[in-house]
Amino acid sequence: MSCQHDSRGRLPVSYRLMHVMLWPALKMARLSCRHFAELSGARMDRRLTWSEGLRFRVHSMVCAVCRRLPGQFVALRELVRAGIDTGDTCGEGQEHPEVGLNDEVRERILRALTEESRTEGVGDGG
Amino acid sequence: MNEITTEQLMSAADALFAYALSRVSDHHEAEDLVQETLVTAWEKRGSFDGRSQLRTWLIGILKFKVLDHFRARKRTPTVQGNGAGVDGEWGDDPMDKLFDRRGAWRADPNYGMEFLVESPADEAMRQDVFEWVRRCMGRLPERLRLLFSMREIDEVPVAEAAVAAGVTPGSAAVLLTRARHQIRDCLQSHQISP
Repeated sequence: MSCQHDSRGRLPVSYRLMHVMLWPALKMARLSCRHFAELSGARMDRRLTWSEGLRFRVHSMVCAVCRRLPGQFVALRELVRAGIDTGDTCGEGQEHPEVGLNDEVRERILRALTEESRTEGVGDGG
Repeated sequence: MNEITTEQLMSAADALFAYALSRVSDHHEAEDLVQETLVTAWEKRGSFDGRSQLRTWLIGILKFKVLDHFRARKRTPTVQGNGAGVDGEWGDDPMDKLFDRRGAWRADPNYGMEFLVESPADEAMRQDVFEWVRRCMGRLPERLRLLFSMREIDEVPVAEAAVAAGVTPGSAAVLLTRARHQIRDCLQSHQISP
């Protein structure tokens, strides 16, 4: 199953023909692209079992279309962590331009902090 | 011990709010979480040793507040088995859309996905990619987004993330795969290219 594809993202005829001919066997052996895609997702959270690992490796060897999928998930995880984690995607010292607390909420929070300070002062025997 | 001022805490409020919104979609809940976080940070300011950045320390507190928030909802696991669309709030299973009945891809999963594995040299493009990732995550159903965020960003173990999301660990595993495919497909549908 080659990975030649035209600019519209369509899969080659050879890929489709292969699946038409082999799909019962692939499905029975849980070696279809869908099965591989599920395993690619699962291995992001846990170690695959021996049989799952074998099916994963076999499919990866024979299917050029699916071969890059695990790498996409790893890259997606890195992107998500790098870009979203602490909201620092705008860089240190900058804030996300679209999200922010309104003044009323900020004042409410500041009052809560001030109240907390006052409580501490009382608790210190003041 | 580093002295923290209320001004310093308030300067991080917007960033905390953005983070909270990525976990809970309700604005009021996110505001409450930010307030709880900052009050707790103020109470515990003596424990901040300055080895990490203040924002990082605050985000750490917020993560626990988010976990507590979902635990307090006392959700009982509602999704058993493969978690496939039993509860409509998880959204449709993307696998049926991505694959035909023979288990073959309906479209090339690699088309237009070079940006995922190649680092854009241009900072503007990089921010573009981050923005699309954020948007695609935002399209996930709330609990699925929470599950995905806790796992992918907060690196919470699956079992713990499952508790927070109110599902069994087995269902959480299936749902996480679903979320990854949904986001991947969402990004591909925008055909972002470097």
